[in-house]
Amino acid sequence: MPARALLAVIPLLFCACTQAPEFYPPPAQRAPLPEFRAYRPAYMVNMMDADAEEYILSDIIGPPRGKGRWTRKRPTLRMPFGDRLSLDFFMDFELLDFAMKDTGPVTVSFSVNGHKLTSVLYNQPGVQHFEMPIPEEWLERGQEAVLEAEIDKLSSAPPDGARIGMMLVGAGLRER
Amino acid sequence: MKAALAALLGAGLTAAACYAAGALLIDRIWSGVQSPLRRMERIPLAFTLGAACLHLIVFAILALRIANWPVLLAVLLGLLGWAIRSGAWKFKGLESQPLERSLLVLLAIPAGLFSLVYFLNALAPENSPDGSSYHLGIVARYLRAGGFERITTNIYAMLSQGVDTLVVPAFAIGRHSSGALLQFVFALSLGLMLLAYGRRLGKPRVGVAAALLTFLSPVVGRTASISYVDVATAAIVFSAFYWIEIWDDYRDWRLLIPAGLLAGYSYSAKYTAFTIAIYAIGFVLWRTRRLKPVLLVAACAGVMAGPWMVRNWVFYDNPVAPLGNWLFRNPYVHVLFEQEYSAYLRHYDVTDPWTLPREATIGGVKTGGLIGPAFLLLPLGLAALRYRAGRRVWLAGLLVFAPYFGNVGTRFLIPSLPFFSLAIALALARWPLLLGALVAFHAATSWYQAIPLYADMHAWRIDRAPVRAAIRWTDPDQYLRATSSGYTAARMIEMNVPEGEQVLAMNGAADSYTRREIRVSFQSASNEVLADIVNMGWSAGNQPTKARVFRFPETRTTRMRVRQIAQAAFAEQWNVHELRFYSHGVELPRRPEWRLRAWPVPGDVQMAFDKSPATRWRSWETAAPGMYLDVEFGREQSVDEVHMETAPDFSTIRLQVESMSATGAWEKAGEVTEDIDLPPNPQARRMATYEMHQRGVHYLMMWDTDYGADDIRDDPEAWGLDLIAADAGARLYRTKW
Repeated sequence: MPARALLAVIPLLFCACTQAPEFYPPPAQRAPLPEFRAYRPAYMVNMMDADAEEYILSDIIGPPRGKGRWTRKRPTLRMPFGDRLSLDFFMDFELLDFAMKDTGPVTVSFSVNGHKLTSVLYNQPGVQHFEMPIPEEWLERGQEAVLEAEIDKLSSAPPDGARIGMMLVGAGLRER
Repeated sequence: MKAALAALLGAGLTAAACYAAGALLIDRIWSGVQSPLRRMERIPLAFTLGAACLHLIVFAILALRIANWPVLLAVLLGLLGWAIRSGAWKFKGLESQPLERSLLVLLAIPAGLFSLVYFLNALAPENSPDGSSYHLGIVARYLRAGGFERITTNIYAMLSQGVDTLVVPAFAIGRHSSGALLQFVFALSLGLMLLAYGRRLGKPRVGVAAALLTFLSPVVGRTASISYVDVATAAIVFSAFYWIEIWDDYRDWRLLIPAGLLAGYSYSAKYTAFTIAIYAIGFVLWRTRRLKPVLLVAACAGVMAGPWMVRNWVFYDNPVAPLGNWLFRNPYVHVLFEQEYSAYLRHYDVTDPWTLPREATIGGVKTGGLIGPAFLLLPLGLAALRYRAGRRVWLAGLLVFAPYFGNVGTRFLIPSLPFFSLAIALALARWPLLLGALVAFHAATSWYQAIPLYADMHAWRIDRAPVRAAIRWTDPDQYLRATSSGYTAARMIEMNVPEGEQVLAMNGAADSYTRREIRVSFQSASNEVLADIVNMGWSAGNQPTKARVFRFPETRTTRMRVRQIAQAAFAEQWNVHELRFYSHGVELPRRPEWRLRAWPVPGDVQMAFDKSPATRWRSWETAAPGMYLDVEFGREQSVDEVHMETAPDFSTIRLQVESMSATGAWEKAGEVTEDIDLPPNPQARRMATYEMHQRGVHYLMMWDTDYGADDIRDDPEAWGLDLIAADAGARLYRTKW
C-alpha cells in the first residue's frame, strides 16, 4: 500500500519540476527624469479629509462635495507648521464654469496672518493652483498661520441659490 | 425592494437547484430501491450533495466561458424541472419519530429568533471585508469575463472556490446579497443535519442541543450572514462525515459515492477542510480492510477536488496555489510572502497561545470572532468517548480541527464546531436539564445584544438587525457608506478611474463594488514588486545607499556571477538594485548580447540592470547558499571589479564573485572588499511612480493609515502624482505621465 501511495504522488511531484532558469537581455536603461522637482514637505489640509473641520476658521461650507467644499467670500484656515519659516502659501481650488458665467473674471486676494500676499485675476474656469513664498517675518515659530483667500465676486449655486465663491480643494504651507 | 427580492430569488433558486441536483443523484444511485435516508436527513444531505454537483456544473460553465445569466438560470431551472418531473423533488424517505413537544419548543424559539437576525443581516447590502472584496469581487469578475480568468494578481483567486462557484449563478440573478443568503441556507442545512444525526443516534435531545450549540454560536451567525464560506464548508464537511456514518450502518457501497464526493468537495470549498477526506478514506480502510471501497471514496473525492488542482496547475503552475510555492515554483506568489503570511496566521496578534481558548470563546477581537463561552466546557465533551458515536465525532472533529493551528482565526474553528457540539451534547445526554441549561446559557450569551456584556466591544460579530437596510428602505449606498469604508473607496475608484485601468493599493477596498482591478500590495508577487517600488520612494532604508565592491585580479571571462554563500536569518532577503562590472575603473556597457540570469525569481533579473534607483531584484525568500545573479557577456571580457548597489538592510548575507573558466567550471574571483556609501537619489519618489507607470499601473490609492501615505499626501507633485479624489480616509492619485 505505501508503495502504491507513493506511485500516486509521483505525478504531483512532476508538477514541481521547474524549467531551467531563463535568460533575459539587458532592459532599457533609465535616465534621470527631466521634469524633476525636489520633494518639499507640506503642512496642509484637503477639504475631503475627515479632520478638515479642525482647520477651518470661516466661510467654508461643509460637507465636502466632489473634490472639495464650497466657500463663501473669504475662506479662512488655520495651519500649524514646524520650525522652518521659509514657506510657500499654496491653495488648490476650482472656479466652476456655471459660476464664472454668472460673475465673469474674478480676482482672488491671498493673505497670511492678515498680511495681503497678492491678488490674482482669473479669467477662465477650471482647477487653479496658487503658490507663493511668504515673507519670513509674517510667520512666528510656535504659532499657527492664518491663511485666507478673498474672492471679489460671488455667484448663486443651484439648487438653493446660495452665494458661493469657489470650490476649495486644499491649502497649506509648503517648505521651500 | 427590488434588489432584496432579486437577492432572495438568486439565492432561493440556487439553493433549490442544489437540493434538486442532490435529490436527483440520490434517486439515481438508489434507482429502484429504497435509499437508506430518513426523510429529515434527505433535505440537508441532498442539499449539500447537490451543492457539490452544481459546483461542478458551474465550474464547467466557467471553464467553457459561457457564464452569463441566461445560461446559469437555464441550468438552475433545468435541474429544478428535472427533479420535479422525476419525483426526486419530493421530501421522501424513511419516517422518523416526531420530536417531543418540549424539544420542539426548545429548538424553535432560539432557532427562530437567531434565524431572523441572520436572515436580515444576510439580506442587507453586503459589507463584510472579505465578502465584499475578494469572495464576491472574483465572482463578479468571472461573470464580467463570462468564465474563469487567469488572475495572477490576487492570491484569493488562486484558492479553490467551491462555494464561491455556487454563488456565481446566485450573484448573476440577485447580486451581492444573494451570496450571503446562500451561506444562510447552508447554516440552516447544517442545523438540520445535526438535528437529524441526533435522531439517527436515537438521541434526539443530543441532536437538538448540538444543532443549537453550533447554529447559535456568534461566529457562525456572523459568517452565515455574509459572503464567507466557512459555514458552508462546515455543512459540507459534516455531511461527508454523515454519509460515512450511514455507510457504516448499512455497508452499502453506494453510500461511499456521496461520501467521497463530499469529502472532495470539502477541499474545493476550503483547502483546510481536506482533512475530512483523510478521515473518510482512513475510516473506510479501517472498517473494511479492503482497497476497492477506499479507491471508490478517493476517486469520488478526486472528481470534486481534481478540477481545482488542474485549473491551478494550468493557470498558476501550482496545483495547490497559492500554497506550496517552495515546491511548485511560480512567478505569481513569492515564497517569503507565503512563509510570513502563514506565520502571521498561526498566531495573529496572540502572543501567548494559551490565551487562544479565551480569545476564541469570550474575546473576539484578535482572532476575529468568538464561538461563545459555552464552548469553554468542551473538555466535558471527553465524557462522550464512552459512546461509539462520541469516539467518532471526536476523531473526525480533531482531524477537522487540526488545520486550525495553521490559521487561528476563530472562523477556522467553524468546521469542527458541529463535532465539538455533538461531543458536548453526548457527554451531557444523561442529564437533560443540565443540557437544556447549557443551551439556554449559550443562546443568552450568543444573542447579538448580549455579547458586548462580556466580550470585547470590538469583537467581530453581528451587531444589529438591519431591518430597514435589508428591505432597502435605507438607501443601500447610504447604508454601505456608513458601514464600510472599503465600499466608499471602491466607489471612488469606480467614478474616477477609467475602464481597463488598474489601481495599486497598499491595502484593499471592496472590489466587488467596482469594475476596476485593485491590485493590493501583498496579494501577488507582481503587486509586491509594485509596492516595493513605491515604498522605495519614501523609505530611505529601501533605497540603494550602499555599494558592495568586489575587487580582484583581472579576469578574462565570458560569464560572471555573484553568488550568495551563507544561510541568512529568516526573512533576510538578498536585494540588488544594480550590478555593475568594471575593467580598469571603467564600467562595462550593457550590450544587447548580454544574457542575464538569476535564481530565485529569474523573471525579475532585469531590475538589477536598468539603472533605476526605484527598482531592484530581490530573492523574495530568505537568502540561502546557491542564489545567484549571472551575466553571460556574449564575448570574452576583462573584469577586475564588481559593484553591487543595494539597500543597507543586509546583515548575514555573504557574497562572492565567480567567473566561468574556459572549461565551463565556475571559479571564485573575489569577495566583498569594501562597502561604499552612496548618496540618496533625490529623484527616488518620482522614479518610483514612473516605474509603476511604466508597468501599466497609472493609479495609486493610499489609505491615510498606510505607511508612506503622509509623504505622498504632503507633496504629490514631487511624486509625479495628481490627487484626483479623496474620501473616507483614502486618497486616489494618478501618475502624471
